[in-house]
Amino acid sequence: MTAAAGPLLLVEGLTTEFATRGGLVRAVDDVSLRVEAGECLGVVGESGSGKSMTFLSVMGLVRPPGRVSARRLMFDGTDVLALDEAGKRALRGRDIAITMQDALTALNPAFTVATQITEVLIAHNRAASMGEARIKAEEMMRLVGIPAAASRLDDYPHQFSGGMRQRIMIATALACRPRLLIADEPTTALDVTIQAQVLDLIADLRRELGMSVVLITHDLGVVAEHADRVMVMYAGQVVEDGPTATIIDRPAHPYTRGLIDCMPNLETLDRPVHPIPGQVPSPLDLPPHCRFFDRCERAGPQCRVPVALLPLSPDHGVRCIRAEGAAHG
Amino acid sequence: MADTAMRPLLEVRDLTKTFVLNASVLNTLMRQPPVVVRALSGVSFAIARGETLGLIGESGCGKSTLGRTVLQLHRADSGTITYDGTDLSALPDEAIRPFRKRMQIIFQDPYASLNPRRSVAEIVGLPLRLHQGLGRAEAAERAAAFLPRVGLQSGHLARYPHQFSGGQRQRIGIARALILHPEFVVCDEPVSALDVSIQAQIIELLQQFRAELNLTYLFISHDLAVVGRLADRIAVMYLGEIVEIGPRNAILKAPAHPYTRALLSAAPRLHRRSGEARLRLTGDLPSPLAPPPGCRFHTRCPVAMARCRTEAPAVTRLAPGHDVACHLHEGGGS
Amino acid sequence: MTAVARLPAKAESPFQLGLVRLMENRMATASGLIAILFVLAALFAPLVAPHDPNDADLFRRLQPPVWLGGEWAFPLGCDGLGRDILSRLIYGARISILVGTLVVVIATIVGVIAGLAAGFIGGWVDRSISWLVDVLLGFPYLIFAIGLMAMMGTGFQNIVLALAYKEWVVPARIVRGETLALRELEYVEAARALGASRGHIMLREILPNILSPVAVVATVRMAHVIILEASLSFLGLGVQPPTASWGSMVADGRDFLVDAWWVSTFPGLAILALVMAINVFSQGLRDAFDPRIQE
Repeated sequence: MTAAAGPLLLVEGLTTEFATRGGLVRAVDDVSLRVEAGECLGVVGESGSGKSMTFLSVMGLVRPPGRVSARRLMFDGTDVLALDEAGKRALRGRDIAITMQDALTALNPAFTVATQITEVLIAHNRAASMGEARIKAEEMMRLVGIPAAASRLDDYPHQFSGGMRQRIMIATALACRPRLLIADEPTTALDVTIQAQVLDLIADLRRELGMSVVLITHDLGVVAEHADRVMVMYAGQVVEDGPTATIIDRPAHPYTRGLIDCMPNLETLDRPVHPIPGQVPSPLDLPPHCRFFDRCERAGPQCRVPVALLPLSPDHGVRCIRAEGAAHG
Repeated sequence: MADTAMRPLLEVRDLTKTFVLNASVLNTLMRQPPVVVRALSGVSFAIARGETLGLIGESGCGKSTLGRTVLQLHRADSGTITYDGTDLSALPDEAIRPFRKRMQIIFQDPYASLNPRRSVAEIVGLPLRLHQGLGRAEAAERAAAFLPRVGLQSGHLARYPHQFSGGQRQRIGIARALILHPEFVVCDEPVSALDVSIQAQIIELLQQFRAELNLTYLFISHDLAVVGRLADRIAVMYLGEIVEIGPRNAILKAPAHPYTRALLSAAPRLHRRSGEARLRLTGDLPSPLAPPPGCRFHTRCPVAMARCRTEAPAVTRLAPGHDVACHLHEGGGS
Repeated sequence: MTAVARLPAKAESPFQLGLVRLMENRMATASGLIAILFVLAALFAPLVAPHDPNDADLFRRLQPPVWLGGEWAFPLGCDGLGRDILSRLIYGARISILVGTLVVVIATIVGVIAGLAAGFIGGWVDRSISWLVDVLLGFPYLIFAIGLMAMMGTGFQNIVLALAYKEWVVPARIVRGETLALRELEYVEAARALGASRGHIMLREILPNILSPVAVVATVRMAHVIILEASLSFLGLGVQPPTASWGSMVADGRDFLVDAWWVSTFPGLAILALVMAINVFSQGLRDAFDPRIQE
């Protein structure tokens, strides 16, 4: 592997568009991001923010009529945009793996879990023989904490509980020891106690395997506990990014602040609820100015301009012209 | 003392509900015993008028079944449900109908809870047509007048559910439940399917209506922080049983049952006090088809003892209104 | 209040949306038009057909189509009795379409009632209906129909009955399944929580939501029934001669396949064209009205 000094994943100017009945929808709008080696990047946003679509685009998993374009897409120093289809396929699953929100539909119900894990290993030449692949599959299942892993290799996905299925999907994703795991809402479908188990598991594996993780979630609490850096998305754009502690304690964008204020929080139960008014603008009808304008309590006439994501400090960017200290010119 | 002032609006005693899974002609002919799920076993609680009881638990614990059984959408196998002095479980369907306008339900899924083929006028107007005998036009007019109270516009009347966002659909469901001004409302995970910023809007709306209409809520959720916002008291369910019930602050600040503690510890927080021990459960929720013997929580309990495996714990009163079913606390209460 | 909605200007019901999607599907609309042409031809057969379909003339026996040396008066040629094939095709369409429509309409009405009752009432009603459905499904369709025709005798009425006896099973099964699924949905529970009657729930909450799958199935089955009717007629168990039907026309030409292929081929092509048109149209119906693919 190349010992690249740069980030593991570098994305610049990623845009994903869909032509729909109602017009052109820009689901991801000029998103730039980076993930350092060994780092956990939390991606927060509500439905329709483009957070999942961003990483489906990075993985090359957007199907027509979706159109993806990017100025730069580098993985570990390799220019992914220059790779052919075979090269991209090799990258997916081997170096970058993704787990989906719904493990029941993401696993193929017709095959045993052993088949699904060994298939990935053999496809990416990580196992020489079927026997070796099976041993590795069992190892992965034990790693993700499935009790009596050996005896459950030949079970089908529906024979596992929701939490166990999520683990199996993580096992499948991790089978090739990827260097980047994209976990798309890994715990949304799970109960709180199981959710805690799965998140701890991802954190442990990150430490043990030294991989980077992108944790896509709508839950700021999950991000606060697990991510090193956070990227907040709204209506297809990144509105704020920075170190987790900064984002949680000193959010600069009114949307981030609103999310934190309205999050159900055990520490502040008796404070009056402080909802963000209104709702996310329709992707078919985005305002030409700041996209949070209609819901922002601090919005003024000067906000009726397109707003760029600008650095507030070297590691903290915000897309708001009223954020203090942002360099505007 | 006036009797009605002291009497709880709803009192549930020893409620048991089972579901039969495989009743077919063949199984009956072969005399195979049907597979039975015990969704509720011996649940008791009471809610005072104007009070909100939060009901928390994980999927499959029976909390939704409890809400629906209280409303007689399912019939209980045994036990009593006393609503304002009347035992609903003893009444035939016809006699329950008049109670329907006094008790209502708000559902979790804003997509499944609205009939896609009915306009907003028909959905919100239906309660008026059923219970006040209004005609179509009159019901639509009253529905139009009610919509602004849930944050929608009267002009939305002719629209269909698919033209609204999830949060707006939930507002339509709330309008349907509240347009008859009921006394008692079961809120079955009303914000779980919504985005965080919309969740807060709906919680605020539910708080407003509670104050305006003096509503009594049974608020069901898997999220302690959401329940904490609205509830005066909280009941914690595990595999068909209430394992702990008490005033909100007692449950959240001084939980007694190991399961309640684990739930609290597992909830993701923005700020975790450093050094705060995390309590992590191992293993999965056992299948409700075959609940473990003894204390049902013993398979996952970090402090389980030998007797937990064989003997079901009795309910112990820790403080007035704070009950727990756990061997750790037996004989230890006041 | 804060939630001011930004919504499309017009209130569009799911039905209107489906109709718009159907019209945008060119294959489906073209197929629908072809099927309508067949129906119109059948309806106005006496006006459209150039000759009496039963007018035999042995001088015209096996006369070839016009492009093979025949005459313009009989463009598709004549059959073994010298009857005009085009006219017989047009009159034959009446039988195919009428049998198809009647069988499917009867089957759909019976099937919807049975399926709704089984799915909604449950208990012994469900068990007996489901048992009957399973038993009927156990018989091969064509053999079942042949047996019935043998018992009841041939004739138009009996074909319709013989096919409808089993055909209702198909919509019944689908409606039962859909009803079972819908019964658990929260909007049905909401109606129950409001104290709505069983009748209201069945007819107002459930029925409107199963009509689109039922309509799709009905069109698919219509094509199927047309083939079955043709098969029965081919076997001589359909409408009796001299009444023209596509199946018996194919059978009439069996003996001349080498010398006069047109006698069998044109009715065969007519069956193919109508069945394909209906199938493509029903596919379009499904795409347009299936609630699962609505945005």
